[in-house]
This record gives sequence, structure tokens and C-alpha cells, in this order.
Amino acid sequence: MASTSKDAERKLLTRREFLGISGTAAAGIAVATAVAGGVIGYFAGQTSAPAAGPAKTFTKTITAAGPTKTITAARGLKAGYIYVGPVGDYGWTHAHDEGRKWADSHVPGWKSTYVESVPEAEASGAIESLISQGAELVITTSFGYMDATADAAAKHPDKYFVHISGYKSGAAGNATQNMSAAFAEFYQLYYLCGLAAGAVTKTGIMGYVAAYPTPEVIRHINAFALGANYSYRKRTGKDIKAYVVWLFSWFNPGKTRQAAMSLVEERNADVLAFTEDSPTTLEVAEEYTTKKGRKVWSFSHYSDMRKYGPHAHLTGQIVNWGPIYRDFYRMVETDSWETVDIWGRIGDFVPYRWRKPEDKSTCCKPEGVVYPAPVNSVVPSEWTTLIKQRYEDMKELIFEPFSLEGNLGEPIRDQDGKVRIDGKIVPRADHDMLWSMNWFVDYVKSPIPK
Amino acid sequence: MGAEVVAVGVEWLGAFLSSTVQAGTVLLLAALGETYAERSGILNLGVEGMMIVGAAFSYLITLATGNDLLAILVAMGMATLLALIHAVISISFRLNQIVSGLAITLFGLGLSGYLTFPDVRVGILRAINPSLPMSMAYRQSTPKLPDISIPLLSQIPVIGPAFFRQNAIIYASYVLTVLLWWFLFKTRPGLNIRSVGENPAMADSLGINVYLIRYVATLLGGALAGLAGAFLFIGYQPFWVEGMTAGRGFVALALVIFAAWSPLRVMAGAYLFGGVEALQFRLQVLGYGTTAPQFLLMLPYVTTIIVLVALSYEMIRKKIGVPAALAIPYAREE
Amino acid sequence: MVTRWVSVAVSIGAVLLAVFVTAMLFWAIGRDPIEAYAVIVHVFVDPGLLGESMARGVPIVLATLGLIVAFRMNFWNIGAEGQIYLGMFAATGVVLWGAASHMLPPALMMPTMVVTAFSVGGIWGLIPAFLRAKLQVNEVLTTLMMNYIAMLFVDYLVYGPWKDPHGHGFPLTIPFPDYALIPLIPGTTITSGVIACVVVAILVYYVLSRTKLGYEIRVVGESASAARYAGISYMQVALLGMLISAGLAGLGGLSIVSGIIGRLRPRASPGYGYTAIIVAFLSELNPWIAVPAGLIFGGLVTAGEALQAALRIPFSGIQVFQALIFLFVITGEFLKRYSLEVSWGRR
Repeated sequence: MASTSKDAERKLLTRREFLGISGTAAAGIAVATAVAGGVIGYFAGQTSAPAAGPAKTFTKTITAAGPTKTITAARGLKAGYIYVGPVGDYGWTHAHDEGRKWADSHVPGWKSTYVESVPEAEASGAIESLISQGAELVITTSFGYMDATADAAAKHPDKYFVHISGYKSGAAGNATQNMSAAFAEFYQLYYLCGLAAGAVTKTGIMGYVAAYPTPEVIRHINAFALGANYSYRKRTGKDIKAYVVWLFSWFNPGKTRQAAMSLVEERNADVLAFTEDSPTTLEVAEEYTTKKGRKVWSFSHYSDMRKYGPHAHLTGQIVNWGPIYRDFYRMVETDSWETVDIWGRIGDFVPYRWRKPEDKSTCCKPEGVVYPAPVNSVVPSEWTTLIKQRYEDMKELIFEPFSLEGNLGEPIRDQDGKVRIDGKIVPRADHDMLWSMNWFVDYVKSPIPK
Repeated sequence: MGAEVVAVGVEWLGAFLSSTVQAGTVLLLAALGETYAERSGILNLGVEGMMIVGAAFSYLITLATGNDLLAILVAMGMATLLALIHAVISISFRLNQIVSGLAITLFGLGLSGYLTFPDVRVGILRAINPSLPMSMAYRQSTPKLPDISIPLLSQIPVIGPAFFRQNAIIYASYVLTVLLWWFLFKTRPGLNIRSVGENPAMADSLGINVYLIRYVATLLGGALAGLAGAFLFIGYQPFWVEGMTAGRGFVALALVIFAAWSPLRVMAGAYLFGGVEALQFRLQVLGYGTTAPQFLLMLPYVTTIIVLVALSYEMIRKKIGVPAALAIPYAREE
Repeated sequence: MVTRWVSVAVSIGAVLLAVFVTAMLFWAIGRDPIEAYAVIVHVFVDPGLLGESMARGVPIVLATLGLIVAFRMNFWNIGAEGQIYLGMFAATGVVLWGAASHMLPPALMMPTMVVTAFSVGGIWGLIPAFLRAKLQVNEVLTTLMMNYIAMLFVDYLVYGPWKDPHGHGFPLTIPFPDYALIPLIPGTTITSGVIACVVVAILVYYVLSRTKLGYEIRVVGESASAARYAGISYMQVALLGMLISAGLAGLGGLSIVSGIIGRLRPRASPGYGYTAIIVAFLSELNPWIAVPAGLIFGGLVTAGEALQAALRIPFSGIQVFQALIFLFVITGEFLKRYSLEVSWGRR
């Protein structure tokens, strides 16, 4: 049995380690730390993972490239994260940091460090620093870090790299085997948010505060518009109009405030969706609702933001990166690394992958990597039921927003009237269409910057 | 997709002007202070740095104590300390004011980032307020200063919502502008400040303490830049972002030139620039410049250059303006 | 001669004082300053980190050499950052044109990029020079405002017409082909841009000290009115000086796209143009000192990330360190003058 020989190898190596005079003390401390870390992790995470894990001495054989190298990991493995923003109490970087803590607490024996507010042009220096600090696994959490991560992966074949929100990985064939890609996808959730928006809007006008015209943001805007139009047309027989303002910044509360206010005041939008890293849009909606006598709705983004706009909060999109990171930790420590390109959607990383009936739906409760925020009770029950149903359907990928079914049985057209999804030749959007989407559905009335 | 015509009504105008005043006040406060410094002959390119330090401290103090007034005072105090460094270097040491100001700006930008870095921030907040919960220390935002509607005045259409439904710092800025104008042009000490900036040797011979006046004016500039920073954070955009001043300190410097060193004209100019900032997204929403919004984002910077060019042309023609001794160190003839 | 040594001593003292004050800042937040400086030194020892440091040092050195020319003629060019962006724009333009038209043989690629980056950066620098010479428009403000404009212009290109058609719509140009990249010095992790820095420093030294232009720059720098009496055209000197100054910053931009990133992307310079201002003053506007000083500052940029990774000291700690060096160096000027007066008095 392979496992037996591996166990033997482990013992042999461990003994060798322990025979070394200097190694003994170091390993002892390391094991003690690992045990302590494991115990803390056990209590903190209340995981069902066997408690025996942390005390074990791991051996890792790396066959990525070059000569085979064996490392003992009794000291505990180290993960290094690179963040684009500061660790705060909301937003993209906050979500990744929560994911890091979640993964640390669910996989005993791991220690992690992070470098925050790293300018995208500076990633290579930060990666080198983490590696010189002994990181085995480097996770870079912004699109702009992609090239630097791929270069570092090629330069350090004995380390592992995960890049978030890009398209380079060994699996995709455009990076070395020690690099994986991962992303938590929101477009399905934006569709659900759209359903809620269309169910409550009075004016039929949607505002969207958008960071940058990337395919990710464009498909989120489209999904939101499709969802909003679905419920609004069913209610009123009319189409919605959606207007977009581009900030050209992922995080800029000042500009976001101006942009959100213009959408309300100039376009009469009464629902504001957004892709920006602060709760500003929700706060602006709250100000209109509670202080200016004008009902405006908005959403949570990345984390539950209800405290920023208790009267204006409709639902929202929430992420937990933890399970993705946990799996990478486990792959590295059990020496079962495989380069992957993960695209976490509804139904991924959930304990029960099959759809449930609406009355038993787990919709809007924390599960998996992406899930909706609780839906405000002002949304009429027929629409909450639909949201639940679609959520459950999407777990099995039975429902797809970019399909005829998502658009009241009609083909999906872009702003020029061209049919993009006809239900026949193109039955629904596939990965490639979603990842390189550069057109708006016809309900969106603002152009995409060219 | 062409620009769609949208009905722009009275309500829109009121809201637009309201944003204009808010965006303009950041510039107004900083430029008022710089006007005094420059009137006395001291050019301080450290406005950006003093502003960001003011913003950073107002963030730290409101987060730790929830006391807005204390936050404003500390912000002003810290910015004044930076101004003091500039004053010592440029007045007492008589060194190059441009270089010193730039150093102050770079130092302020670095320091504000250092002190608000999560790990460091937590320590500072806990030191100020040991009972502060950890979750509070990680907050990036604080409640915004409340708006106060002034009875009757706030009911006037357009003008009411624009000028009289604002927060306390904005009301203070109205008073300060008039007060500082009156002081500079209608009082004896004001005349002294101006004469020190025009001809320090002459002023000295008349028994005016050149050094003292320059110190006071520079420190006042610092205090007002700190107030501008505090307003930027608690009164305008209560989310801490590193480098959130985004060049506003330098726009304020341009504004001082634009205003020909007069507080009243500073106010007019500040609202003009504030209007440009408020217009950026309003234009985009109205459908203008949507294919390349970057060009709209350039507006404040392009406007600044155009205004500077126009003004220089004007100044050469009319031979008005610049305090004659601006940025020239004064050494007393012994 | 005495004053020369005093001058060097004061500069060293200024840096040491900055080291000490920064150590206090680290200590105040519970970090061991010695450990922190060990991390900084390690950046220059670890081959991987040294490579990163030198690559970052090159744009800083080139921009600094440019600023030295401008500052020597008393022209306050704060616009190196924007000129860097224009250089990146120009260099990338050549690569994209070459890739699309196949009209540029690989061997001619890099020379064309150098000439274009220098010219385009330089022309961008002519605008504030002209406005200053013709209308006395404050160059500090114009060059600074132009930085934001240049950055947004590059944003526009990368999000718009220059986006890689196969890049899934992300804001990146196509990756540069190998022959458009700056190679490493064989057998090391160090970019050959370092050699270019030395060559440019020699050229700048030559222009400043051995040519008519250099003489005129000096005279204008000392006194614009004296220059007028000497029959020197301020307009001409300002334009030529800024062409060189901004052109060198443009080369710095080239060294970022071809030496660090390998393509153009938004916000590609994290403020090298501002760092260069500090380096220019630290090196007392001397091109020889600018080269090592700029490369060390490149290391400090890398050290900023390393400090966070190792000790959770924020990157801005390094910015404070740099700003303190700046503050103390310029304040040290006072001591130098004072000692000058004293030594004159003795004689």
C-alpha cells in the first residue's frame, strides 16, 4: 500500500530531524505551536476535522519541476496573502481577510500572513517578500496581480500560487503547474437582486454605480437588469431602464456618493445597485429614504451591510472565500496539489448540492462561497418565493440568468438590437461568453466606454 | 447611444448646488488659510500634506471618542504642527519654501497612511479609549456630521437647499470667509500682513515684526488646512481612504492664485471648482462623455490649468496680484 | 574643502537622523527597529529581492536625473510622474504598432522605443515650460495637475483602444514580445537598465558641465535676471532643459513597462516620479550620487512590502522614512550655510 510506504518515509525523516541537535528544539517548539494552534483552531472553528491532524509531521514531495525535493512541515505550513486594499470592516479585502481567518481556523497547523494595500504594480516585490518569509502558498487577491503571480510561479517551482479573479493557471495552460486560479462569481446573485429590485421599484428605473468596465462588472450589470426586468414586466407589463455611472476606481466613497446621487436626481432611479468597495451607495439610499422623503433601495456587497442602511436594504450579494482557501491549504499539506481554475457559484462548496423545495430553501443563509443577503420583508411573497426557487434551481444549474427563461422567454438582445442568446444556437451563456462579455442587454440605457 | 434629454428642474439645480457647496468647502477652507500665508509672503506647498493629516486625525479621534468637535480641534492642531515645521524652515532658516512645502506634503501623506494602517490604528485607538471594542477599531467609516436646516432661509427655492441645509463646518466657512476678508482688508493688523508680504524691509523699518506675522499667518494656514481635512472626512466623505485628499490641496493652491489673494474671490473660485467636481458624474448620468469617462474625470485638473493660464495672462496685462515678496525669505539687515 | 566635508557630513547626519526617528516610529508601535532594519538590509542581499529592487530603482534614477536638470535651472518640475506615464504610453505605442504592422525589425524595436519615449515624455514637459516662459504660469501647479491628466489618459487607453483583444476584456495591453523587454545582466537577477542609468548619468553630467546649454542652465538657475543681462533666452533654455528633464522621466516610464511589468496597465507607476524629487535633493542635484541613491530608494520600495510581510509594518512607514530624509536633508542645508559663514569668517 502506498500509504504505508509514505508513513515509513515520514517516520524515517522525522527521526533524522530529531537526531539533529539543532533540529530537536526547533521541531519541538514547532510541534507545540502547531498543537496549540490546532487546539485554538479547533475551538474557534468547531470543525469536524479530526483533532489528531495538527500534531502530525507532514512530508511533502514536490514534483512540479526540476529535481524532486522533500520538505518536512512539522513547523506548520505558511500561507501568504496579498491584498489590494486595507483590512477594514467591509469590502473586497475585508472579505478575503475573513476568508483567510476562516481557512486558518478550519485547517489546523496553518499559519498565514498578509500584506495589505499593495499597489497592483508592486505585487512582484510583495510576493518575493512573502516567499523570503517562508510562505509555501501565496494567494494574490486582485486581478492586477495576475502577471506578477504567474512570473513568480515560474520562478519558484517549489512554491504554490493561487490568483484570484484572473484567467492564468496551469489548468488553463497559460501558467506553470504550481499556479491555480479562483473566483467567487456573483452574477447569479445580481440576477436575484434584480428580481427583488423589479418587485419593489415604482419608477422602473435602476441606477448602477460601477467601478470599471470589465467583463465581470458588465455581466453583473446585465444580470441585474435581466432580473429587474423580469419581475417588473410581470408586474406592470413595462420594461425597466437601467443607467450606469462609471467611477474608474474600485474604491472611492466620495465619487460613489456623487454618482449615486446623480442617478437618483437626474434619472429618477429608485433602486441603486453597485460594484464598488464601500457601503456608500447603500448609505445614500438610506439618506434619501429616511431624510429626504424619497424611497430609494440598495444592496449589500461582499458582506452583510444592513447596519449601513437598515431602511434601504433590499438584499445583496455575499461571499465567503474560506472554503476555497481551505481546499488549497489541504491540497498543499496532503501533497495532492493539482492546478485548478475554480469558479465558485451558487451550489458550490455547499453541504447539500441538490435543490430543495422553496419552503425548505436555504436561500439567504450563509452557505457555500456565494449567497444572497436576507431579503427585505417589503418584497412581496410571490417574489421572495421566486428568488428562493431560482436560487435552489441554480444549485443544480437548472436555471441560468442568461437564457430565454431568465428573460421572460424572449431572446436576449444587446443595445444594438442584435440577438445574443436566441435559445437555439446559443441556448444560454457559457463560461467564455460570461468571461469576455463586452455588451449590455437592451434594458441598459448607458453605453459601455469603448 | 446619444445623450438623452432629461428634464433638469429646480430640484435638480438645488441638489447640484448643494453638492457644489460641499465639494467647494474643502477647497475654500484650505485656500483661505493659504491666502493668509501667501499674503504674508510665505508659500506653503504643504497644504495637501496638512489636509491629509487633518483628515487622518479627525478619523482617528471620531472613531475613538465619537466627539466631532474634539476631532476637528485635534485635526487643526496637528496640521498646525506641520505648518510650524514649514515656518521654521522657511522663516527662521530662510530655506527654499517650495522644497520645504513639498517635503511637508510627502511627510503628511506618509504619516497619515502610517497612523491609520489597521495594526497601528488599533493601538492608537486603544490608547485613546481603552474601552473601545475591537470591532469599532476596524471600522473604516464614522457617522457624517449632521445637516442643520436654517429656519426660513432653507425654504427659499434652489438657494435654500444649496446653502442653508448644510452642516456646521459649512456654516462656519461662510462666517470665516467674510471675517478673514474683513480682517485682511479693513483692519490694521490685516494691513500689516499685506505689507509684510509686499515689502518686508519697509514693514520692518516701520516697527512691524515681520517674523511674528509670517509665523502667525503660516500657522493659521496650517490650522485651516487641518479644518479642511477634518471637513473632508467628517463633513463630506466619512470613509477613511489613504490619500483621500487626491490633489485637492494643490487645487486649493491654484485657487489662491485664481482669487488674486482675496478671501471673497477664494469663495467664488472654490464653488466654481466644487461645481466642476459635482458635475463630473452628473454629466455622465445625463449621457455626456460616457464613451470615455476618463476625460470627464480630468475636468478638475484641466480646469485648474486653464484657469491658471487665463489668470496669468490677466495678471501680466493688469499687473495685479502677486505679493511682491512671496516665497522670498526675509533676513533682517543687521 | 572644509565645507565640502561638512556638506557630506551633514547629509550623512540627516540620513542617520531619519533612520533614528523612523526607528522610534517602529518602536512606538511595538516593533523591534533592529529587526526592521535587518529586513530592509535583507532586501539588498536576497537575490530575488535585489532583482526587484534594482528594477524599481531604474525608473527612479532616470526620473531623478531628469529632475536634476530642471531643478538646476530653478524650474520646479513636480511632473515627473506624469512624464513617466507619457513615456510608458509612447513605448507601448511603439510595441503595439510594431506588433500590428510588422514594419519594425526586432533589432530596431528597443532603439525606436527609447527615442519615442524620450521625445513624447519631453514634449509633454514642454507645455509647462512654455507656459512658464511665456505667461509666468506657476510650473509647480501645472506639472502637478498634468500628472493626473497623464494617468487618466493611460487609463483611457488601457480600458479602451489598447485593450488586449484576447485578454477577456481586462484592462491590459498585449504582453510585450521578448525583444521589447529590458534583459537581465547575464548570470544575475539584476536588470541591465542599471547600466543604462550609469550611461545617462554620464551624459547628464556632460551636458550640465561641459556644454553651452549646461552653462546657460546654471546661469538661469542662479538668477533669471542675470541670465537676461547675459543675453540668454529664458524661453530657449527652459524649453531645452525641460525637454531633457521630461524626456528622461519618459525613459523611466519605458523602464517600467519593459523592465518591470512587460506590458502597459493602469496605474503602472506607484509614485516613482514623486520619490525621484526626494532622491534629487538627497543627491544634492549631483548626477553621480543620483545613481546609487536612486537604486537604494528602489530597494526601499521593495523593503516597504517586505516590512509588512515580515513585521506588519505598513508600507507608509517607508514613505515616512523617505519624507524624513527629505525634511532633514533640506534642513541640513541651513547647517551647511551656517558652517560656510563660519569658515568664511575665520578666513
